[in-house]
Amino acid sequence: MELYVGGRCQGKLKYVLDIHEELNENDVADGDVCGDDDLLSHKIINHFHSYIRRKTSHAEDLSVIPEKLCSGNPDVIIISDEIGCGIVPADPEDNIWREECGRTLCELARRADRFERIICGHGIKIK
Amino acid sequence: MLVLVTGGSASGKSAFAEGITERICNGNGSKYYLAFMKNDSKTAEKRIERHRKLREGKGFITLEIPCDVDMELEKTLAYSVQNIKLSGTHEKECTDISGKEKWYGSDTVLMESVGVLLANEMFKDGIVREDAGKYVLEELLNAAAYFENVVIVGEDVFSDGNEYDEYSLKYIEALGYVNRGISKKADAVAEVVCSYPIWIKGEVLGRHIFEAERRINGTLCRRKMPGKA
Repeated sequence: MELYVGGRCQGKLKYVLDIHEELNENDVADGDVCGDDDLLSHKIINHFHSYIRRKTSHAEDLSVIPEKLCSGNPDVIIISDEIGCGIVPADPEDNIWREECGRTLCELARRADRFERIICGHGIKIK
Repeated sequence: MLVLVTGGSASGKSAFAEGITERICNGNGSKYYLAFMKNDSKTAEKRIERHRKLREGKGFITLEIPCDVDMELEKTLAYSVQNIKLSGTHEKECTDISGKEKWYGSDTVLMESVGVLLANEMFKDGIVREDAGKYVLEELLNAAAYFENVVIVGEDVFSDGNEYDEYSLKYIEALGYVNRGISKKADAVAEVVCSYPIWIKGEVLGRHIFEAERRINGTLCRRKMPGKA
């Protein structure tokens, strides 16, 4: 499993597609709209933070996601915005989203074979 | 040694800071956890409980001081310094940044966190204190002078691109000021991203501490996931 994080509009998806020439946009599931099955059937999950957002709105248990991904789709590439670098949100649901997203990404980073952060289109290798 | 650990919310910075505190301390002197959070709401209680669990069984002496940290520490440690004397820990005299003579032992402290302390000082008694940033930086550095090794947890609230009200902006500005001030004095500064450090300052020293921690504990992420062997 590979994990790529960074602020919004940093060219994360393009970076991933550039280094994985064998993949194209048809391999990408979009976290904004994708279903649970798409997580296991696609090679890339983009906007992973949006997927987490939709899950927190339905108060679902998120702690099972890393295991589900690692066992069901072990070569998956996950791309997520970093959303934690701000003031504590006034809306409790936003706050839960921020916390859950951060903790899920910590666990994914721990399990990842490759973990990078993208800034201005450049990848900084962390693991 | 002074280490600043910063990062976004839920980035794993607490667990990371705690891990390196243990490594730096390495069994020498006492190990303090200096918590600034007030236990005044359900959310705070939950957070405090989660952090308590993380520290469980690791031999931290917990001090809870929500404001005026240096002055409160002087009162608190006057008592513990005597205890340390009895247990035979090495002590020496030193001066803090204001030149005042103070005692300190060969102790290590983990302070958590800058943003919480700043909120406590800035919005105390319903008044907004404009000079809170300067005050907090000074009290933190004074407090740091009581210990040989200090790990301070800061936070990154600077890049969500949102617009905020006047007071929140003042808070963000003050937090930036305090983070910069500590960073200037620090031997090493790490930004934690998804539980992994990016060393912004003192990379060689930082990596040395981090590798030692990883060798011993294997990983810095302590959240237990179901299904994990």
